[in-house]
Amino acid sequence: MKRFILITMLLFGFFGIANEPAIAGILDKAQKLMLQNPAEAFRLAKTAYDNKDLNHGQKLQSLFIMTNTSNMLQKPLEVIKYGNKALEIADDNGDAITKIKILGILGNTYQSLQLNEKTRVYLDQAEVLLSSPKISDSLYMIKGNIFYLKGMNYFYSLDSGIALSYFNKAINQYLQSKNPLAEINIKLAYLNKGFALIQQKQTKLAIENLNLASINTMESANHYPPQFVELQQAFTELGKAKILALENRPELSNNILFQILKQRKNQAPRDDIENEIYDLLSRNFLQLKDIEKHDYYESIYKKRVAESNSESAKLVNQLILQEGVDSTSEKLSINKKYGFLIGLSAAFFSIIIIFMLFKTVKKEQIRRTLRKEATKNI
Amino acid sequence: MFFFLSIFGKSIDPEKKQLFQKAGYDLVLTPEKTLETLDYLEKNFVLDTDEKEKLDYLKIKSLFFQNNLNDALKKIANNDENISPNILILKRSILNYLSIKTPFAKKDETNNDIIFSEQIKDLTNKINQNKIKNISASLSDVLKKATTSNLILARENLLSLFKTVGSKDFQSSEYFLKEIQKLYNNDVEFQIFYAQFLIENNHLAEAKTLIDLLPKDSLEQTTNINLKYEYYDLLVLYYSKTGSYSDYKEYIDKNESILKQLDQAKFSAKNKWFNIIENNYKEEEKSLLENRKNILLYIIVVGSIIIILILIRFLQISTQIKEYRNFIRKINVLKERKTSQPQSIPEKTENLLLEKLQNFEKSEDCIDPNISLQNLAKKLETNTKYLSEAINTHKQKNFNAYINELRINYIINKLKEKPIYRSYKIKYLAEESGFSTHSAFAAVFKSVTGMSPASYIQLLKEKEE
Repeated sequence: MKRFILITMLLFGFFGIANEPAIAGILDKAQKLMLQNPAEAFRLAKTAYDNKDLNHGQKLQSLFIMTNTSNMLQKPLEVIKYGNKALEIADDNGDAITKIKILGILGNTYQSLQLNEKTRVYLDQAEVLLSSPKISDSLYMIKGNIFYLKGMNYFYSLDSGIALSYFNKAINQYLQSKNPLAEINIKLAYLNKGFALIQQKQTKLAIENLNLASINTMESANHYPPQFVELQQAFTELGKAKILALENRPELSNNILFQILKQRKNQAPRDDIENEIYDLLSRNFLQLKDIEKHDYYESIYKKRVAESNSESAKLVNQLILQEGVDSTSEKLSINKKYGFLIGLSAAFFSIIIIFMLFKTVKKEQIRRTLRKEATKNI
Repeated sequence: MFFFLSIFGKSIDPEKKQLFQKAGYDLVLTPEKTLETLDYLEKNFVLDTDEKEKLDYLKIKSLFFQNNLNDALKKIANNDENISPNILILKRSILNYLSIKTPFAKKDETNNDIIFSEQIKDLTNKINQNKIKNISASLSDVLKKATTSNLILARENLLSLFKTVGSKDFQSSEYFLKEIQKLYNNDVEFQIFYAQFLIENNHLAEAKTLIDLLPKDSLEQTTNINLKYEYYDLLVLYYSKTGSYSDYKEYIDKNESILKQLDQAKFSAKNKWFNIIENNYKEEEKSLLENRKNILLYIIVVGSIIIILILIRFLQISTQIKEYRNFIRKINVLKERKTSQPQSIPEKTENLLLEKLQNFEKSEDCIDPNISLQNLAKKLETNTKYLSEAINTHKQKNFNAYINELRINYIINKLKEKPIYRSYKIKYLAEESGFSTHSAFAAVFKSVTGMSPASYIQLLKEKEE
């Protein structure tokens, strides 16, 4: 799931110039720091956001930075919290481009929480917006990212046919983009297209795409962040190991898998790659009729999956709790707002009614006196 | 499932009882049959509240066993406050299966079944996290309570504890498992877990005997997907110990495809539940907002209506005040109109003319709609100049105003003398007094008396009352 992080961190935005110089300075600084120091960028944006004098544009900018940096810092609950607020403002402002970017980040976050349906709702909205006249044809990078995320969504729903068509669309957009970061994204798109082809057992095409996804360390590795290169290589090797397993060559597949594990020995563990390695090892050993090793790797795989599922469940539970807290606070705010309006209107009408009753009673007294006088003279 | 009827202890119709018993009996191995029976019951019998609750409970459980989690979730989507304790326990078991935690509603803390189910769940979690100190005492306590509790309601939680205890190597495990198994002696799922426990503890022969006793065909065909998975898992474990590769591979493959189904259903159910929760919150917010808007609207509408009513009354009173004031002023003017005016007509002629005018005033000739200055002059045997001057000088008004006032006085006398006139329409009164239109009549009436004919009539009525 963390494979998403690289692509979405590139979704940062373009905003108008802020009116208030101090706030504008903070936000500009935060925006510049997003990639190098997301934690500091988040802090700056939060400081700006807490300022009550922000205009709509500044509010949106600070929320966008907080959403994006929370995503980079892997804090899904904060992404959802700030992202949804940003989405509301972007919607009010009619800022379609920012809206698409936020929908992309939110979709990606829900995907990381395994909330596939919710992911699709956000990405579908983004896709609809892409075809709106407000979106220039030249926004290749943004379009590519949304298509890529949709492809991943279908890939995780085991719908590799549709996933492939979205990966192709994404690749097509990235190829036209002049943004240097598109080079990274296109590699990711080829990689996952390769995996989708493996899911369809189209091994020849899969290997072609894995080769396109792979990075030639001798020639162009310098263009890419080192962590990305290492991961990309590990994933392409994993893809090749999967293909070998499909071709009934479990020993060769295992060799590659052990090689990846060896290379990743000193790296921070990642569920998405290591879980797949242990799963494939257990399957390969089953093919090799080695029940003991199969059981061993399967138990590691199951333990790791249980742990990552439990982590994801924790986040979903927190998200449900947060939804509850947000709903309670929304209800409180409704009660507060309408309580005030109800009180105000009740007081307003009461005062007017009492005043009018008082005046009417007075008039009535005058009327009675005059009537008496008139009746005397009639 | 023989103990099924003990849940709801009440005496019921024997056929219904039999059908409920059948539904409960089929639940674990053939949950689809349970659903069929329940549908039949629902369509062909009148069910009371308890029976409906029982039916819902079994339906949800049946859907859950068939891995139809989305439909099961739809049925437990209501707020905890709106569902019965039995279904609440089941709801928590299903959510627990999906690793979703829900906070406890306060009212649940007093229900014994809920308290027991939470105790079992808590113990299971502690054992899983190795946080339990005196396992024997805790298991004994659960066992003691289980013998007197509602076993249907406690089943899912006890099964989960049974499985957890079976996977750990505790001295006290075996006794607990045997005793629980006795309580659920016909429940195949407990037998499967017990066989697993035996294999884990290398009692292969005993496990084999138990496996042979399991209803193999029913388990192969069951729509209870979890049960099937557990059965295959048991066989995988057994064959991994006995070293039979082909059997092992067969059940590993079978298990894998079932696991995919289970995972997909869980995945989709988690999404579903999140959507349900989100929608519930949105609905609550929407309904609160609508309620507050309605209150506000009610205050505005009622307040405005009251203001309008008071305003109407206020204007009515103001109009009447104005009319009374005009009337009083006119009366005063009439009283003051007694002063004599300088003469320009010979005195004798004038006196004669005034005498004739007095006679004219006493007659009802003024109501003749064709009356004019010329007609009247001719009638009074004078010229129009003298007549006009006499009226202007002695009546302080022109001929038309003079005639109109006479007509109004005529109708006022009628109104005073003949109460029936007070009920006539204004149009009739206008015609009666010689006016061609009722609007002209009303205008002249108001200019003469200071108030409208209707107000005048009202005043007359009030005076007489």
